[in-house]
Amino acid sequence: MSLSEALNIGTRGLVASQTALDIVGQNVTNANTEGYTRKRLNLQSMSRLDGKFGEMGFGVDMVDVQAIRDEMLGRQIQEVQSDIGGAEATDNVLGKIEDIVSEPSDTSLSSAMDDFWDSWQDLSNNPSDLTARQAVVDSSLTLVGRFNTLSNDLTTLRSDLNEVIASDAGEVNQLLSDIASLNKSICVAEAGNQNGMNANDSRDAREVKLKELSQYIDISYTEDAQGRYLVSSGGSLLVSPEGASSLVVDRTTVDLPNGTQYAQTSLRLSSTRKEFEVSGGAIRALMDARDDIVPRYQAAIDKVATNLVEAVNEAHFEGYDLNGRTGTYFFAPQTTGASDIALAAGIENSPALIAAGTGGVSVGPGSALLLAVPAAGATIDLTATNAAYRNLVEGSVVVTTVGPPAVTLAEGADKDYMVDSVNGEIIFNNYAQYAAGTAVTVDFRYNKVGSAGTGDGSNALRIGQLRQAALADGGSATIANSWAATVGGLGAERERATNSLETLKELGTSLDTQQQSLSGVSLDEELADMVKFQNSYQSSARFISTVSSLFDTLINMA
Amino acid sequence: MTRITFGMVNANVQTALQENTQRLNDTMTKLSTGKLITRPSDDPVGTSSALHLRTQLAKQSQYYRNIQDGQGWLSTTETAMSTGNDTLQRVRELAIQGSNDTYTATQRKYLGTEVMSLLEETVALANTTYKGEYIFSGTQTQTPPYSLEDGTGRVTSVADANGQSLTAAPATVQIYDLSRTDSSTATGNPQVDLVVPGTLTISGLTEGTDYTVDYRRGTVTFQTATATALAAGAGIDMSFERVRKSELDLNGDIQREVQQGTTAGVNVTSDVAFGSGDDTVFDSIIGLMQGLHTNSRTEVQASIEPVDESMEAFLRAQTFVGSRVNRLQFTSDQNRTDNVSLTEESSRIEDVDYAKVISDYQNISQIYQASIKVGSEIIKPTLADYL
Repeated sequence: MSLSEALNIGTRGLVASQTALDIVGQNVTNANTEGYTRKRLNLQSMSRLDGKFGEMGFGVDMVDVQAIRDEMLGRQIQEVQSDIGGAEATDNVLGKIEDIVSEPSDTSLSSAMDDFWDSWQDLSNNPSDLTARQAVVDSSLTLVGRFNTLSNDLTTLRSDLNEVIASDAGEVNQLLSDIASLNKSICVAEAGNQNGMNANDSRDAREVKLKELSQYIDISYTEDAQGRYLVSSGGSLLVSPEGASSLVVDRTTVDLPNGTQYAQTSLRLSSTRKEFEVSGGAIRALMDARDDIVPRYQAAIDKVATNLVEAVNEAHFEGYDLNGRTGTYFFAPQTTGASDIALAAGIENSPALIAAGTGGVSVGPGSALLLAVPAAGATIDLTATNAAYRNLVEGSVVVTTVGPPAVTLAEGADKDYMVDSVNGEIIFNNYAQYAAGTAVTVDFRYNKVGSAGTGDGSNALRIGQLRQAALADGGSATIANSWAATVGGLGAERERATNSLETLKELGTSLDTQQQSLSGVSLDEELADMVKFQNSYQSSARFISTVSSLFDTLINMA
Repeated sequence: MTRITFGMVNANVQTALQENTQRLNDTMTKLSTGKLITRPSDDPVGTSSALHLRTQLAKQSQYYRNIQDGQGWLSTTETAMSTGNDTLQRVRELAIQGSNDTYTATQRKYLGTEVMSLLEETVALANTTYKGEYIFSGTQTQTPPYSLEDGTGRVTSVADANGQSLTAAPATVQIYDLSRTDSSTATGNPQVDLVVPGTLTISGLTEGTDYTVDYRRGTVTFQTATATALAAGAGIDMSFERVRKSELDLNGDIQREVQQGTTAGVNVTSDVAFGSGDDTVFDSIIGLMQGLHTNSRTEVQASIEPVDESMEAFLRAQTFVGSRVNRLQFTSDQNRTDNVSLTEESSRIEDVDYAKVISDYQNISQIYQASIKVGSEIIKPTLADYL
């Protein structure tokens, strides 16, 4: 071995130490960089065969710069990431629904319903009092407003979800194109890879993008021979060796039950023009929330509204208002749900139209002037004069010829006429003593069906009592109980979502910790390495100066 | 051995701080709202129960309002009935006085004047209102059940629409009030009964000689040819004052829901309190007045019994009201007890136990501060500090 070779060994040592220090510097400065994987310089001792000793050391050789990462762990993290993305979106939407429902509170739907029923009871206590009637109108308007707001807020939430899906699709597109371009630079950097040619930093960046992408959709990927990732999801290849395809947002106008419309988004692949099947991640969760969760609660609220409208209207229809009229509705009968529930026309401005009474029968006088008495056996139908002239009071019918002289005819099977009181008919038997065509007046009393008086609040009471009637869930629960169950169900669903999100997050943190443990930069370690390589640099330099002094000795000998 | 890196320590400290802040915030929310449940997911089962209880409480307070309203009706009724009893007591005293042998016609007239005012008082009692509603009118609360009204009648020798005529004396004619239209008869002229004795006048004829009156039934018996002549000529015009019962159906029940599924009647109809048909309080009083008016000792004496019967009926009605009042009072007490337990139950589920939450708060706050302090100590040092 020659002295110049020893000088080479020293130089190699200097270069290796310096490179190692460079890497320490890179690691330390990137300790906080997201996705950064610590790098290590792999060293190997060089040797060559010497005739006498066999292998002789020839200094140190730098094999490669290795990024310390666990591929398996990386994949696990991607998978969990998409579950976390989905759980986060679901939890978020359920939280928003909770905010919209805002139970229990003094301004919630159940409070408004309580006030509504109370106002009917108050009306039943003071049926003739217009203030009590106005109070029913007011509480009903509050209730109707509450229903409308709930429905609108949920519809708005659905359209917001569509917007979020659209903007998430934009993010996905950006990430896909980022991954494709990183693929390209990795491919170029590692081209003709002998050994040690790793595009470590681009790979780190690609991992970060992949992790971000996993939040939105569930992806799988394989690495090809050129180090490119082929990313696919839902059966479609999103990043191919050629580049990234993108998602196109389509908007379809959907008709809502209440007649309004909203734009529903769906995703399509630009490459195949086919619909893109989203299989996981935040976008899937958002779509599920839009198509299942929100409509489910909307339907529950609609059900409450229609149950209420049906029951109240049915009772109201049979009641009598202050003017003695019946057969009117309280809520608009065309109500299809919470979005279009409204008071029936007129009620809002005329509380007198509220049918607080059950109605009853009162007796009233009636009379008919018949100009020509028909032949024997013929029938006079009083309802022809007035449809209400039926249900005559027994014995109240007085038939008098128009005089003079005015003669009162006699009632009876063997006398002048008979009475069919139920149908309001008078059957003439024998009028031989009077010329046919004689004019007669018929006076009678009949049972008028109508209001039993302004003090009758029994129908208001009946409506007030609907509060405890089992009207919901196929007649198994009161409206309030059914709503309370829905709200309880919402709470439970949110709680589940939050718990599963937390569990997933813990799993994610644990995996991250494992990755950090393996790939993260430990400053202490790096500083120790720094000291180590500093020493090794100094030692190499010392070695060179020693070899140099050997040269001096040799030269001075001459 | 696990490698521990700077990033891990940092992330752990951050997570721990975040968790502690979250708990601190939750506790603060509980403290500031005073509510354990601010959203359904805080306690899904509790939320459901809380909503049930809120509805239950709302119902209980409504029932309480209904009970109070019912008690208002009943106590107004009770007061009216007890005043009525006193009035009838006075009527009875006057009847006994009037049946005294030694009383003269003039003295009986004076008694009659006092009975007249008692009659007016009784009509006013029958028209007692509570919050502007007539309490003895059933569901026809805007209509007074009884009223004192002026009326006119007319008899001629030709039968009128009501079939009344006077072709020859003596004859008894039913009076119809021609000044009114009503549904009680086919012609719409109400048949008159309960004429106030002494108020019926006929110009040209003298009561007692030319005619006599049955004031309770509203019939006039014409005795002399003068009456026949008058009927054939200008006709006999009568004017009078009478007690009229509303023709509407006054028997409606007024109900208040006082407990779930239980309604209580809160009204007493005029038929129950003042009697129905020909056996009303007014029949009794007018019977007495007729005796006093015609100075008939026997009639006055005979009127004592119906007055007694009316008083009994009154007492029965009063007892009836009393039992309803008691029942409502019982329901009201029960309602208050239920209310207290429901409020407690609701509060237990929904409201914060301050002592517990404040001690929780102090606990969490200490943990929070400790985690900040320890975190700052852990994050700082690296090997660099010692090189």
